Amino acid sequence: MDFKQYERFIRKSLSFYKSTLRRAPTLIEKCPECDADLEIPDDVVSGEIVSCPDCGMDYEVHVSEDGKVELRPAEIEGEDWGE
Amino acid sequence: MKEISLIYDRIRWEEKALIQASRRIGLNPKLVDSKELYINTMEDPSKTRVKFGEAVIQRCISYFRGLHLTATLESMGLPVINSFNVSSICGNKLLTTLALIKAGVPSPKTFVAFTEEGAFKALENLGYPAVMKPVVGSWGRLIALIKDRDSAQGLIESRKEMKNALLQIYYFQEYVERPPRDIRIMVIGNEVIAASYRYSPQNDWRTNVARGGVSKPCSVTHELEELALKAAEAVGGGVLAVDCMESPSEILVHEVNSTVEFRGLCSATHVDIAKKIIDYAVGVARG
Repeated sequence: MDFKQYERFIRKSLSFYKSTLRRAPTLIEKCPECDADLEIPDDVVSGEIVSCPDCGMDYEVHVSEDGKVELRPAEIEGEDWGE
Repeated sequence: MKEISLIYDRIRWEEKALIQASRRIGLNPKLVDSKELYINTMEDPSKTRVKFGEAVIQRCISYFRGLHLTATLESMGLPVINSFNVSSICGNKLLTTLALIKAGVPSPKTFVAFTEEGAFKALENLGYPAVMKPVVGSWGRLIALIKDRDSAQGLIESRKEMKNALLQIYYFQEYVERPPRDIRIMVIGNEVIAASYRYSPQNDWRTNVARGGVSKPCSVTHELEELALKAAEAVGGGVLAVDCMESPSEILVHEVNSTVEFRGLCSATHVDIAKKIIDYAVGVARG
């Protein structure tokens, strides 16, 4: 095995190892505010909140009946919110 | 298999836990987003029941939204957890206090007034320091510790400026000398499920987990159990969190919560509260 082959082998092993570590999110949406990538977990429940890692904006993930995912600005905390 | 629904406006940790707990026992709850919902109040109740199953767990963060939704669904013959009566009492601190007093549950000394003038008179009689709370409000919002007449003046004046009719009801409580913690006891039906201490964070005297309070396990003594069951019964029973504090002489109940946030309690005690709630909902579901 020459050096190039060895390098390829290492790269391949590494990327395989990484793929076992991180479960790929099913969906990446663009933040409507700042265009950053927003990862939507694959077990998302309609009504969950995701926050943009870049600008901090909160979105409610809305999953329609046909499975379409949409990001809506999260409701702003009301004065009657809480337990 | 009975069908139940979960009505929400936001999926928090608690709602996810409830969904997972029901799926674990083979129940697939109908998830209803209250923000997209409308109900024809004259609809044939049997149709409404097809949409919502045999019992409803109402988990709206917005108190008034949840309360009115509960009233509507109950009128159509659906059991809702918690019931309208329980939600309306627990959502209002004055109504809760009155229910606790009536049932003989020890609670902090409480005064109520309806104008600025009345508020000062109440405080003179109650004495300083005192605690001012909005009658409707959560997560410790607008709860103020009033140390003397000068701070009372500022706080009451600013209340007057808030154009909200409910904030013109002045609810004052004695400041109870307690350790920097309170006790949260979870009651489901006739059973005490778990209890935790909630320690107030640094730089705040309030113990609300929403304010950064930290939950630690608390063992349920016979005294706590009896007190919690009595308090839960006083407001009408259901799925409730009874909050109390350790005064030098006895344990006082200051609040009973109706749409309980139980994440802190779960992590402190490792009790599967979500499962207990689902079991309770299945139990009250229409036969």
